[in-house]
Amino acid sequence: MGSARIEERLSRHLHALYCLAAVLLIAVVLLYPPTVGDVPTLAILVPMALLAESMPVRLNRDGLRITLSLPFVAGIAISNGPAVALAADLVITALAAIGLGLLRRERVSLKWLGVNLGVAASAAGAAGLAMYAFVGLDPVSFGLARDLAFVLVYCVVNFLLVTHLNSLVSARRFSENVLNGLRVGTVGLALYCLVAGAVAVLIAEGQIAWLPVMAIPVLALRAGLSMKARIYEHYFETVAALSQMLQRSTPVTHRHLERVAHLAEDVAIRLGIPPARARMVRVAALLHDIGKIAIDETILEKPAKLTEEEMAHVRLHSEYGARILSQCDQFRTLVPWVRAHHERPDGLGYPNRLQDVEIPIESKIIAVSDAYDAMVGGGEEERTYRTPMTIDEAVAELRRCAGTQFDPAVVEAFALVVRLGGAPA
Amino acid sequence: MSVLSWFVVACTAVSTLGLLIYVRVILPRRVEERIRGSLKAFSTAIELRFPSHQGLTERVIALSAALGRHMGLRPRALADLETAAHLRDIGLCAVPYRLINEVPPSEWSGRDYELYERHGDISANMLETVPSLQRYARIVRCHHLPYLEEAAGYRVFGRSLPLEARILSVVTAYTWQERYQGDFLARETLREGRGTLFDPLVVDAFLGVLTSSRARDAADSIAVR
Repeated sequence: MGSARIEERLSRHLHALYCLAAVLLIAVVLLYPPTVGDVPTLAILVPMALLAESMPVRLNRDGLRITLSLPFVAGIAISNGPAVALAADLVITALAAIGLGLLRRERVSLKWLGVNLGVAASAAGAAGLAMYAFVGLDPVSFGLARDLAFVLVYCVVNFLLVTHLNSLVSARRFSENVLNGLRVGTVGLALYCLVAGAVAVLIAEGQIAWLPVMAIPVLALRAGLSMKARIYEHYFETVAALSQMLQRSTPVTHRHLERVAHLAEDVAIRLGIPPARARMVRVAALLHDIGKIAIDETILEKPAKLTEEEMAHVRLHSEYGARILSQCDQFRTLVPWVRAHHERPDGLGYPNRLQDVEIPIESKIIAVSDAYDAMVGGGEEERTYRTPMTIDEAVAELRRCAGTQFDPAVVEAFALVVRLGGAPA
Repeated sequence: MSVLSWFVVACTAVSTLGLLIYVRVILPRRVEERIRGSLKAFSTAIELRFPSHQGLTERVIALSAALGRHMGLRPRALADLETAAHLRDIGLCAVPYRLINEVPPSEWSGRDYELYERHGDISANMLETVPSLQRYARIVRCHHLPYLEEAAGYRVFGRSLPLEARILSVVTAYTWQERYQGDFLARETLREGRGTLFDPLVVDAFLGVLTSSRARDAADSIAVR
C-alpha cells in the first residue's frame, strides 16, 4: 500500500475520531457540570498522572507509544467527577507531549498531539458516560462497580482506538493487531485494572496519603511492558538479520522469500490453522532456506544439472537450517518444520526419508509454496535460465505431483488460495 | 475500611510483589537468553558456512573476556565485548564459499583480498539495519582497522577507535595465527604489530594474560593443523 493512500485513509479516520471525541466531550460536560470538589486528591493525582504520562513505552517501530496514566485519571474521575477527569486528562496529555518534545529537542508533531488528545478525550468521555449508568444507585454498594466500569470502558476504548490507528499506519490487519496487543499484555491489563481499582478504594476510604504508593506497581508494569516489547521486537529483528545473511550469501532474493512467506501464511489459514500458528508458518517460510548460507553459492547458481555429489551438498541445507535455528529458543517450534521442508509424502524426500504421517503439515505447506513460486518465478531477475510458467501451468504441475512430492490436501488448499487470493472471510 | 476494600488492596499488594519479582528477576534473564540465542544463531551460520572457522568464536570470546577483565572493563563493557565478538564476522556470509573452503587453498588475487577485507564493513552495515544491535556496529566496523595510520605525512593513532574494537583486533589476530601457526608465532605477530597494527597497551596486557596459565588451558600445545 502506498504511503499516500495510508495518509488519506488515516486522515479520514482521524476526522471521525475528532468528531467522536467532540461529541463525547460535550455529552460529559452536559451530564456532569464540572466543579472541583476534592482539591487535596486532585493535588496528589495530577502530578502522578503527569509523571506517568511523561514516561511512554515504545511498543514497536511504527512509533506506537503508550503511557500508563489511567489509574490516576480514574482516581480523578472518582473524586472530582468525569468532567474534571476529562479536562485533566487532556491537559496532562498535552503538557507531557510538549514537555517531552522540548526535552528531546524534537519538534512537537501537532498532528500526533491531536490524535493523542482525540484518543484521550474519546476514552475518558466514553468512560464518563459509562459511569452515568450508576448515577441513581446507592454509592456505598455500587461505588466500586461504578469505578470499575470507568476503568474498563476507558481501557477498552483506548485499546481499540490505538490498535485501530496503529493497524492503519502499519497496514497490518486490525484483528492481528488486537491479538498481538492481547498476547503482549493480558495479565498486564488485568493487573492494570486491579491497580486502578485499588486507587478507587483508597479514595473511597479516604486514605489519600497512600496514593503515591500506587506509583510502584505502575512503574513495575511499565518496566515489564518495555522489556516484553523488546523481546517481541528482537524476534523480528533476528528474523530480518538472518534473512539478510541468507540474501548476502546466496542468489535468493528478498522478494522470493516474501512471496513464499505470504503464500504459506494464506494457505495455512485456508487449511484452518489458527492465526498465531499461521504467523509462525510465515516466519518459518521466510527462514526455510536459511541453511543455504552454508552451501556453495556457485552450485546454487549453476544453470546446468547438478552432479550426484553436488546434489548431496545442496541437500545438507535443510539440516543446516535446523541447526542454525535451534540455537535460538524462540525458534524452537520452527526447527522441525524447517528440517522437514524437503520431505515427500512418498517417503523419498530428505534428510530423513520421513513417511507421509511423520511430516509436519507446516513443512508440506512451505514445500508447496516454495515450489510454486520457483515455477512461476515472479521476478525476472531470478532463474533466468528457465522460462516462468503461467499460474495455471504451475497449479497443474503441483496437482500432477500431488501424492508423491506434495500433500494432496495442501495442494488443493493452495490452488484455492491462488485462484481466490488471500484468506477466507 | 470494609472487607471488600481490604480484599482489593491486599490483592494489589500481592500482585505487585509478584510483578516486581517477574520484572526484576525473570524477565531480564529471559531477555538476556533470547539475545544470546540469536547471537549464537548468527555465529553458527558462519561456522557452518566456513568449517575452518569452527570454534574460533568460542576461543575469541574466552580470550577477550579474560583480557577485558584483566584490563578492568566494567561488566557492561564486557558483555558488549562478548556480543561484538559473536557478531564480528556475520559479514563473512558475503564472502564467496569457494574462496575459503577450497581444498587445497587457491592463490588469492588482489580482488579476493579486497572482498575478504570488506567483511568488517559488511557486518557493520548489516548490524546498522537491526535497531537492537546498532550500537555494536561501530565496534565491528573498527575491529580490523590498524592502530597507526600514516596518511599524507600525518600519523594518526587509533586512540579514537573504541577500546572494544582494539581488544578484538588483537584477540582475533592472535586466535587466527594460533590456530595455524601455534602460540609462539602468534605472539611474535602481536609483538611485531605492537604500536603499528595493534594498540601497544592492549598487546602488553594480552601477552600478560596469555602468560598467566588460566587463559591458556585450551592452547598449551603448538597446534599445527
